[in-house]
Amino acid sequence: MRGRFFWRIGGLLALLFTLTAGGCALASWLLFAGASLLPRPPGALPFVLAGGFMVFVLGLALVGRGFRRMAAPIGDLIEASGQVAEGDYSARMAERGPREVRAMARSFNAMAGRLQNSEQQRRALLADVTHELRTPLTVVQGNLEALLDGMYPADEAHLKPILDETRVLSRLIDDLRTLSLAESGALQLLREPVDLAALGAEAAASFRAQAEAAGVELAVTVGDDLPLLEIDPLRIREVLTNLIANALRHTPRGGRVGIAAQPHPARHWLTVSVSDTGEGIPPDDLPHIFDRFYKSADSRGSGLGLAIARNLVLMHGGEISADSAPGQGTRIAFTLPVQS
Amino acid sequence: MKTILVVDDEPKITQLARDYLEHVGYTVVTARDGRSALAAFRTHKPDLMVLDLGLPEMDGLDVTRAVRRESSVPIVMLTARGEESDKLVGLELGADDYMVKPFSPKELVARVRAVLRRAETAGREPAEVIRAGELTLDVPRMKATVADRPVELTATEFQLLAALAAQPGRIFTRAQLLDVLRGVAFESYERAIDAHIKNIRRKIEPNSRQPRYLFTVYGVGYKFRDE
Repeated sequence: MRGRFFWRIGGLLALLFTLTAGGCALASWLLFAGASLLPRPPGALPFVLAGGFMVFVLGLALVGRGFRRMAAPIGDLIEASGQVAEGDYSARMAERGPREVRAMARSFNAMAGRLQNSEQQRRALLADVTHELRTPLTVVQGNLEALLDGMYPADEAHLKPILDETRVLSRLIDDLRTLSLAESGALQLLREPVDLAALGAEAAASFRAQAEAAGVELAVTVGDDLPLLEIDPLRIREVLTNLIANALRHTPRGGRVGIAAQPHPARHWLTVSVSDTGEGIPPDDLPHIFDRFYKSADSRGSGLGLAIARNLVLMHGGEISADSAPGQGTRIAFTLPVQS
Repeated sequence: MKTILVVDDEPKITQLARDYLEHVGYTVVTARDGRSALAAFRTHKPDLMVLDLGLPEMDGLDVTRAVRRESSVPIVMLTARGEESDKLVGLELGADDYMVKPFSPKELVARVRAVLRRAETAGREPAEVIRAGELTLDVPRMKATVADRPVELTATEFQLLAALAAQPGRIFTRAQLLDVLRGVAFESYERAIDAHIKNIRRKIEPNSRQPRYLFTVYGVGYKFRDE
């Protein structure tokens, strides 16, 4: 592949050179023919011939050098792209040759770097997913075997945990689907003008019964004067429900979960926050809570809720962040841009 | 009464293991993370550890490393990652066996028993004569016979076979088998082990495609048959 390419380029250059050399010969012949009318110093012919030969050699050397300067990096490119095609994303090419070729090498290397990066992410995700799927599966398989072995009686106390585990599995699969759609950019946002006050109240209402049962106050403080937002209401509600569910889970009886929205003074964006009076997040964990599968030891979730929330907020052009004081509570806030 | 320490971050899994192991008469202690596993190991001095590799705080490999610094207690690893490299690292750090999740609790009990039995025999003086099926190894004389017919093994082959047969059922990685050969022969490539195993099989197995004595554990290494 590489060899044939060089032969073709070489052939083309040789043809060009022959044409040029032929043109030169023709020109000098014409020149001499014209000049022969003039008186000429005797014995000049060998010098002219020697001069012509030197020009020829010099031309050959120049063409060779130019050829090498152009062709060598292209050879590198063929080799490196071949490696990438075979799945070796660590292939890089040296940045050398003319400016355009160096620019091409730079963008090739950037491309290979991105491919390598996404391949690593894919592998890490796969390892995480198999780990997360195997744990509930172990519980299901082990408990079913115990029922069959007669180790456990087939009563509600032993059957319900198995059913719960299958729910963990199916929630994990739903969350994985959403997350992979969001991460790959394949998730379509269906934007429409949305009144955030109504959306927040609606999200909170679905947790009312759960909050009452847990003895936690659920307070929504969203002003009436908020501008309408161009957002995907289902996705932003998903963000809110994820945050509220987390907050409720970590707030003890008698605590409070607050949902608030304030416009930024310049009205370019809104800040929406969900705060709780729970046990808080240890400072070591705080930077990682938006990573997928990062969860506290007692979490019953898939470990994907906050990763999904972050992706959905980023897709809307906003940002999400967390503040927490251990023992006092946690506040997770995200911004949404206001279209003017 | 033997004590087993079961370490896993999922309480439902430790509960299941506890119920099965207690049912066959072991005393069971459990831990949920690496640090408390190490603490429980020091206070309870268990006869065997069942250790999950993916633990919070300090992972299973770190725990294995720390435990091995002070004790040779048998360790059965549990792994939820399908990664071969984890098994290899674990076995090379000194774990005795591994199981991939989801695992069968009955199988876990069988493995625990086998590893404990092996640990008992490993504590004794090495046997002078090892017998398995029709194979007999006379270790001091380096003589091997199959169905009373002598088999010509080279010193390297005999050492390998004797090391594997001395601990039936234990999985040896190629690197561990290479260590066995230090002093007998100079081998620097793990793949050389495969060539030796192939030769040993040709000499002792009635049919080397369906081995009766030497089994391959794909992606990990080899083991000798466990009765």
